[in-house]
Amino acid sequence: MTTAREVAHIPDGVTKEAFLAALARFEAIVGAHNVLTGEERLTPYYKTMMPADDTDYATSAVLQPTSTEQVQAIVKVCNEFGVPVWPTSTGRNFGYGTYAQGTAKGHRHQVVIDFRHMNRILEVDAELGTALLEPGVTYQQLVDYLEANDIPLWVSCPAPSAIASPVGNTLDRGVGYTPYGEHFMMQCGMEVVLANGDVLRTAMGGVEGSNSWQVFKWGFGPYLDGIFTQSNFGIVTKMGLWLMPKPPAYKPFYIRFPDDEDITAIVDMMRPLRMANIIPNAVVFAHALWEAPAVIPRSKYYDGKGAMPKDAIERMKTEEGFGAWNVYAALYGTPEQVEVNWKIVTDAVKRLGKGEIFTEAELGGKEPFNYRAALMRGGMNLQEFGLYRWRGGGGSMWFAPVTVAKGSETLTQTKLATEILNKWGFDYCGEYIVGMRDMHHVIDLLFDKTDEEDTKNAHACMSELIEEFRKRGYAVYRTNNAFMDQVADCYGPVQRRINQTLKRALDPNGIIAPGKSGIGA
Amino acid sequence: MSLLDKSLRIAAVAALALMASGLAATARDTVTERLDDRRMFGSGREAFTKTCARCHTGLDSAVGPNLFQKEYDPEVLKYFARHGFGPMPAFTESMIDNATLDELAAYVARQGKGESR
Repeated sequence: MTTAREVAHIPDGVTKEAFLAALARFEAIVGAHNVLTGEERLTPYYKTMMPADDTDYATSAVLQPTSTEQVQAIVKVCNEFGVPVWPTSTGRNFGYGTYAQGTAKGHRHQVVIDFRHMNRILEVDAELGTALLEPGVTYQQLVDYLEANDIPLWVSCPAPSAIASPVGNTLDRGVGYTPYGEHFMMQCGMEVVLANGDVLRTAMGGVEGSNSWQVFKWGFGPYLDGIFTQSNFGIVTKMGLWLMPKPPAYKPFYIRFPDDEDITAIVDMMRPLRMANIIPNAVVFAHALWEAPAVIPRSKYYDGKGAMPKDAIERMKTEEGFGAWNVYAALYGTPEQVEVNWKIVTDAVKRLGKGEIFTEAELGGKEPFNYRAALMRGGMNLQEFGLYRWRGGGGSMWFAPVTVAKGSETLTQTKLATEILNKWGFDYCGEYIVGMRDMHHVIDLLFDKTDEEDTKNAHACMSELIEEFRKRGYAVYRTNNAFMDQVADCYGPVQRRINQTLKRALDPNGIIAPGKSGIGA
Repeated sequence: MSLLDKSLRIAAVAALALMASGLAATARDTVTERLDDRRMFGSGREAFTKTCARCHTGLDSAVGPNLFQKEYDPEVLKYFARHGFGPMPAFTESMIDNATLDELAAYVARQGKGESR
């Protein structure tokens, strides 16, 4: 059995004959209308923001399953014909690859599984604050459901998020801005289709009749959920998440610091407050060049080539009222708790002798405070999409090294990143997102993808950032397809070998997303 | 007792009070239906409001152009929706099916002509 479909790309290592035969089998599983081929139907899947030729990452076909059983049947066909599949939730991982699949080195043109049609909210328990979702559910869909049913639970979302997927973001170990901002920490229970077609339900999900799948993460024996994040060991078809009870009181605030060097004191002031849960959320320290894109165009202060000059940045800070560093945090709880904690925070700022503190009373309704206040209670918005207008041309890559929450470290990282970015003609658009004891130093490497030289420079710049940071003991926690191998190398040969060992044990034919996170077939 | 210790104690008491009140909510176990490509949006207008409006309705901080200010050809709008442009993502058929996209483009074109519907 075969199909008469026209195919523009064939997965690396697969013959056209075998691919067409596999497509015919896929049609029988998901229906012909849920197997997409041909340039016109696949074009929306080709676009990436990476500094790479999009055709290197072009998919050969898209499958749109509607059930776990269909996914099981798909992997069986993949094994039979050696066809690789790359699962995506909603393909909205902006700056980390979107629908891009494979790598340019031998794993090109994989079949994308688009989970957009597996978008059921399977369960929300309002008492326990848990949800069980399929991968195609969007943040907007989940929030709409909670609001429509008057359930007082908050969702932690990344920015911008409405059309992205909670399952996809969590599997990529993304972060948000509420006290539940470390998303994988708030994940509980998965259903995974393995390469051999088995369906694994992790932890308590393996116990027949259990009602604690979404409340107890560990189960018995080795904890497995982690190996299915940022990996290609299985295809996650359901995921449990914890949702935050809406607090009776919520007080977002902003602290402005004038000088670049202030980052040291800010981190050391905020760390104890974060560790003691006085400030329980994922606090943000945004640089002026992150603050600005959300509200103004770059051309207002600089329209020339290369990185924005220091004097233009200083003029922008003065005229727009931006700090060099802009701290956003919030207090949550009862009004009494918030009052006590507010005194602790304001006393800490006073002791520091630097930094102006503002609340909704002064900044309510004004941007960027408004969108930051919304994010810290899980309110979705697209304000930060303004980053993509900053440089223009649609190129974006996240360089996101992890750092310890110590002031001295942040000064080193910020200086190093700025130096390398400026050398290649790019701005330091960066912020720190504070975890429990770590910080995600998130930098958007923005470039003009319509400009060949800019694109080439962006690739070289990213590679240099990864390498120079590695030399100093720093590594990123997440990256796009074009740099997965280089980043995997930062974590050493033993980690690469154990990942490959697991891959060969769980997916001996290498049919699930070969190349993902530097883990080959 | 330091202020920090005091606040932690208050936090613990408050947390217990919240738990006792049960947040005035009851368990609602629900399986929602799958939103398929026909039911994802009730109309082209709704699809525009939920997907496009954040960038294309003339806010100061908008990334894209205000689509209601000029008269656009529906075919051009559909092309950009499917292909994306610069920072604009491309939208697949599983996000907006062809019939809804037709409606959406016709709706936007009518606004550009100054028609209310």
